[in-house]
Amino acid sequence: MSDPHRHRRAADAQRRIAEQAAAWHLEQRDGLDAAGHARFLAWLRRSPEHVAEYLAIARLHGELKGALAQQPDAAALCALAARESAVVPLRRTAAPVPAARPRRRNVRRVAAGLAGAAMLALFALLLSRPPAGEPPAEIYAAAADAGRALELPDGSAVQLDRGSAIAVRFDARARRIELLRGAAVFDVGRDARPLQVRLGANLLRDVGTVFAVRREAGGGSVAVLSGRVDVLAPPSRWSAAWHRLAGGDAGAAVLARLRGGEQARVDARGALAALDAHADLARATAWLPREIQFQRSTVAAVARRFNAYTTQPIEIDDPAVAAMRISGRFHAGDAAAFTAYLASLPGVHVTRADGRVRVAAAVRKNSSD
Amino acid sequence: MKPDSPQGLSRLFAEQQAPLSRYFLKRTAHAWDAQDLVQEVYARLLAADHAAIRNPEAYLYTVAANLLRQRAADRRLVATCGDGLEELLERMAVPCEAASGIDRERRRRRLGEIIARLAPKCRAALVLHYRDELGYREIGERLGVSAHMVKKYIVKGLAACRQGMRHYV
Repeated sequence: MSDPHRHRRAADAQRRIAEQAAAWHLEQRDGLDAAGHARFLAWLRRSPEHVAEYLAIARLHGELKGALAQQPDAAALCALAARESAVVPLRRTAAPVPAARPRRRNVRRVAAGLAGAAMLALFALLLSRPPAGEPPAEIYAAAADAGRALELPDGSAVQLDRGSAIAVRFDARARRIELLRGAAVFDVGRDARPLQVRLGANLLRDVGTVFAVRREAGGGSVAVLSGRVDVLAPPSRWSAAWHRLAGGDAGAAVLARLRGGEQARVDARGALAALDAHADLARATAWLPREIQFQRSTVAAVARRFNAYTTQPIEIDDPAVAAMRISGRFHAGDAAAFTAYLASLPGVHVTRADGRVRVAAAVRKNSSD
Repeated sequence: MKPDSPQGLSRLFAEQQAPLSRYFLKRTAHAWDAQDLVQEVYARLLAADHAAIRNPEAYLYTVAANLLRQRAADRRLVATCGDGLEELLERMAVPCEAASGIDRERRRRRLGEIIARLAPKCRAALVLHYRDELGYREIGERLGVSAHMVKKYIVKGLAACRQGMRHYV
């Protein structure tokens, strides 16, 4: 955050993607041919940010008419435009209109490139080799006699049981974590990239969640505290190859969709062994420390530690509140005491709705926008 | 035409732009929900058979709609599914309907402010295109620029609106 250049670069990248999404949205309205659709699809598949941005532009498009109604009439706008200096206000780095780029290129070269890419993809699929670009895994392990709390680069908070270890692999497309041994509780950070946790033969697909995972000799278990986790069937060889190729979780069958309070057990081969709609969450997380102590920690960090114990997650909506530093000591099972403490802080407002505890800044006048 | 089948839905979406826009308008869900949705849509986009996707936009909306419907069903807010598109869209919007009235008004005002601050030509192009429904050529003639330039102004304007609304749920 202290680096203004990095900030600037990130904002530029965001704007570029927004412009590409807007250009594609316009092309879409004007009518795309088959080749255009293919290029658009390729653009969408390049990154979840592209999908997010396109959906955002689509939503914006739906709202535009209402927002434009109060703008001055056409004649007035044109008069204003005529007074604008001849200097084009567009920056030189403006994103190219998508259709323009491929047209300039030599058709034969493009075709050769496509054929080459197709061959490469085929080889990769047949040989089932992981692509060279696969990032190396970071291994995090807890000592045999002490648990460990850590935060991953995407903001996910992880608590490891004694003697447990995870391998973490993040790239531009996906966040992949493998539970190598022991047990862990994940409080997954908000990020557009999908997150998967490998538990033995199974993949778990998370959707904004706090969940506990344990690996055992005969399989493993997943207990969801809040949010949702999909337990996927072990991938076949073909879909495994595709998975490595595409970085997605392919079309793996969903064995179970778990919501808060539910637990699933899988056996060593990855088959569903048991499903419990009213899991004993206290038992599943019994290894977590009984007390939460913190010294000048941020509200956000402390809230996430409480979230490992409760089916009613605490969500901090306001960045200023999230960054406030607090010290204290609470019983881990008593999140209510912690939220009561938060509510007593100046400028903090706590509401409960929908099974969630939301913490926001108290509303002050003239502070909108 | 049964909207329950993926082909049926995607055809409906491809044919009916207006209800689609309204659907996105209604779905002023929390940013958290939107991000979940993107994750899942993206995962399916990667898993899907390339060649089978004729119209990626319709596919995108179809997947998103199915996910929303599935989620609504999971929440047991929807017991059965009717066959009218309107009804379906209505139901998909249910979980977030309560707050959407206020959000919509807030967003509309904010959007109006952003547009008022755009460079004059950019603003004129955006308004003439989306409000007055003029083509690129017509707008170009009125502003004294090429149709290609008009398109660039519109893209620029849309992106500026998106940037301005980024942290505005």
